[in-house]
Amino acid sequence: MKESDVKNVPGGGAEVTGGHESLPAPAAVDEDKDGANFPESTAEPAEISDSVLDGKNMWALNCIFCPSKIMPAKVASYHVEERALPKMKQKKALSEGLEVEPLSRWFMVSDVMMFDNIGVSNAVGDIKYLTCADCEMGPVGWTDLSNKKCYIALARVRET
Amino acid sequence: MSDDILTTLKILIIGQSGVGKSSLLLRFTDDIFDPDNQAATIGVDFKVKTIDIDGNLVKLAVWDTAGQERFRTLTPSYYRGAQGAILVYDVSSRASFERLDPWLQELNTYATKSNIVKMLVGNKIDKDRTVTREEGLQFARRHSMLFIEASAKSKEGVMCAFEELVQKIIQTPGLWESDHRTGFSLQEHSETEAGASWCNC
Repeated sequence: MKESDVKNVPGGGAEVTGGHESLPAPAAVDEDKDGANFPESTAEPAEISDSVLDGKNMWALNCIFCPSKIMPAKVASYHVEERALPKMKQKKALSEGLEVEPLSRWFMVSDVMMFDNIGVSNAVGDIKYLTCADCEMGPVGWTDLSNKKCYIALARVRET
Repeated sequence: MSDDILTTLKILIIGQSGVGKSSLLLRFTDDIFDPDNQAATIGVDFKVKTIDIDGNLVKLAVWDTAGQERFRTLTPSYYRGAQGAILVYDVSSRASFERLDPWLQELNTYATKSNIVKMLVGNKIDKDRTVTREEGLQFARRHSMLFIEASAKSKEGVMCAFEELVQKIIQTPGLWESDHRTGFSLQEHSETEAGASWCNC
């Protein structure tokens, strides 16, 4: 992996490029309180050297919840950008507001057809959310409608 | 693996509300989505699915009308460039069967590919039927459509439907192109008409 491919800053945190205000660093979240197997989060690993090779996804990316293959290996570019996504498991009613979490590590493709399998939500403002094409769990990422780029959260996929 | 993709096809799913179009949207796994899930609440616009047809990988962009049928007229851009269309009715709903004609007319009006492959799907065969298999078959024959009965609930027939449709498209000369382009546009379904579209046949 080339140093220039990733913009990690010392301390394991990621460089913040968005306009978010002092979001907490992606640290370990609390243990699964419900005891369920729901991998709701999404603690981002400190090391990405096991995931990124030559700036691309080293492994195929799959849904965490079902066998669906999202994309083959070596297709997407590693991208660091802090951005909040709605949590995959919302514990409160939506009327109480959407629970989001900041994520910073993504795999980016320039075109949605580069995925093997993906679901694309209806538009929410200037983005659409990405979900598993088979079980529809998500969001696993988002797509920017202005430039069609699609971002998959490293923390929300299973690498094989 | 992406290099091995034979072609990319645009497939539409059309039909009345409530006939189970969404569940036909290539939903093969158990339903485990979180009802409070934001993306599910927002609704799925389309899906990209890669399927294996006789050893060839074919990438599908499958579009569901996603509730827009309530407004009856889908935008022509929804139909543009589609190589295949799945027209769905509910075998337990006579009304959904009787309203197939206007859907077919709309499809024939807006489809930009004259040899688009059409498939009729009688859905929900796990329920009490009011439309016989023979009636569905007759309608399909009359309109030169493929025909299959399915139950998304039991997954029965759903995979078959897609495989059969894609096989027929592949067998239709001039309907598809070997995959070299990446010009697919997310915007295509919206009002934005300009720019790269599927393919310009």
